[in-house]
Amino acid sequence: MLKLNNITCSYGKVLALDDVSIHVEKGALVSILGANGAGKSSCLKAISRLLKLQAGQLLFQGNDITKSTPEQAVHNGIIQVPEGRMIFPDLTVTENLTMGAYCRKDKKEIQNDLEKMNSYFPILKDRRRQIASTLSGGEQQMLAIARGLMARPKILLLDEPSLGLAPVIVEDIFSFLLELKQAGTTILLVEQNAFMALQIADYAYVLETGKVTLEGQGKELLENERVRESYLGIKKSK
Amino acid sequence: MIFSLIVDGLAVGSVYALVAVGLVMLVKSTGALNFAHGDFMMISTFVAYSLLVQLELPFWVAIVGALAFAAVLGMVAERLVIRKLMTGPMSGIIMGTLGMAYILQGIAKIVWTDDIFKFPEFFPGDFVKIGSASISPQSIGVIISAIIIITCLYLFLNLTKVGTGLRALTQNKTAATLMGIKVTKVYSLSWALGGILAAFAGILLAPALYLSTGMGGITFTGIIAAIIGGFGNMFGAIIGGYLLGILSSVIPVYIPTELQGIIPFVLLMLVLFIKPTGILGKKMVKKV
Ligand SMILES: Nc1ncnc2c1ncn2[C@@H]1O[C@H](COP(=O)(O)OP(=O)(O)OP(=O)(O)O)[C@@H](O)[C@H]1O
Ligand SMILES: [Mg+2]
Repeated sequence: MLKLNNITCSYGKVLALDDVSIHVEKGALVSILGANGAGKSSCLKAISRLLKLQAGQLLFQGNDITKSTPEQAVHNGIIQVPEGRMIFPDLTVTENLTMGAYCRKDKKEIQNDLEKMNSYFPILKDRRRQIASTLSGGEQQMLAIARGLMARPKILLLDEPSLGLAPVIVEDIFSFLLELKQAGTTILLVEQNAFMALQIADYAYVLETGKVTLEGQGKELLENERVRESYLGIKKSK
Repeated sequence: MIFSLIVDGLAVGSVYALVAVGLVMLVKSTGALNFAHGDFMMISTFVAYSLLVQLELPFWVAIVGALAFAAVLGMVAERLVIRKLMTGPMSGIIMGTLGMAYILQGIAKIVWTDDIFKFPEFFPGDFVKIGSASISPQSIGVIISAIIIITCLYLFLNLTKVGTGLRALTQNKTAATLMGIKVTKVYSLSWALGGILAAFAGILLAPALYLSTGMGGITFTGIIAAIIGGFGNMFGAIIGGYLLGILSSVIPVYIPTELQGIIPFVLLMLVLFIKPTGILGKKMVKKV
């Protein structure tokens, strides 16, 4: 469904992605792991067309989207829930959600989807008239995800949804992502929480300073010595 | 006596409020403090004057024409000057908008000369007596018009998708882009709106004043009103505008004429002394 073929990106002289190839099949949940500064966010920015490619090609549903704009990406159904949530702080919860549906024209369906988000995240229903900046961190992350879903994504890109959240809430969010996937949404998940991410991922990539150094099925990588040592903090026995 | 002064002050304050609201909206949407705002107002009002008096077109045609001119002027300014400069330092934007102010004044002087013109009153009629006070219908008309315009702006920003999108963009540009909001379109729209607000202000102000190419100085009054209200807050800008209008109408009765010009500055300093962020301003959170 989504293919990054040998893409290279940089910020000025800083090389952020170096010849990266990543494939996401329709209906799959694919994860990208890596330490701080590995290039995970840059990868999602490139897909959302916030970052220009210097080399390589982006394909979405067989179409070349290498040169498309961020708006076109949204129209194509590529929806990103960015790192740090980036909700609109002075808009109400409901206004934030309707902004998620900015590119949609089906008013009635948007109304239905608002109801749907309220049933996914009942807390957002209670807070619907509240200014978004007054939500707790966990609530803000739920709002950011719900806002993304309001666009009816064909593929949902999530950048570290567990960042700064308590373990219980992280579990809630991950089980929600699993439900979404089972309902048919294609998901590309960037995470530092490798253990959680690998458990729900069908396939995963490990980024190190802009390069893919390892890839494989989620379960496979969970067993991998290098992953265990560097990303799960599990030392070799013996 | 004092009552009719207050009503006149509210009328002038309405104009200040419109100018200040426009300035704040542009600062919030594109980060640009528009030093040419008063000159947008001046030249649009001259366009209205020419359509109304020189071409003798009907009243509403002249107004619609001037508003359309102002909207296009705003969009051209955004496209040619602001969009490039807003990616650079603040000093570039300041010089850019100041440059526009001088260019517009120059053009206006060539087209309409340095003379002063009498702009016809839109709301003629006899003075209205309320108790012992007599109030000009023009003042009442200006106040009501401004309230309608500001209400329309409020409804647009809060109840329409595009208006909410404009507010969203001012709060987080990256997130707005990720929603599929076309950022350049919204910038263009906000400058069109800024132009329209300036034109309304000028058209409401002109009958009470002579029309001249020097009118653009109102930019500074608008900036002061915005700061008094708490810079960046639109309601604050409105409050600041009305406060400034009323005080500059009432106080001159009690002080020598020579001191009239300092009223806005004294008020500004008083307000900032009591509350450094302005009346409705939020506490500045320094970002590290
Ligand atoms: N706007 C920018 N300007 C310059 N360099 C940048 C910019 N954004 C990212 N970089 C650099 O690009 C590299 C990759 O950054 P990126 O944000 O993609 O990492 P990341 O894997 O998402 O890290 P984190 O886990 O900390 O979010 C880093 O070296 C970073 O310093
Ligand atoms: Mg990141």
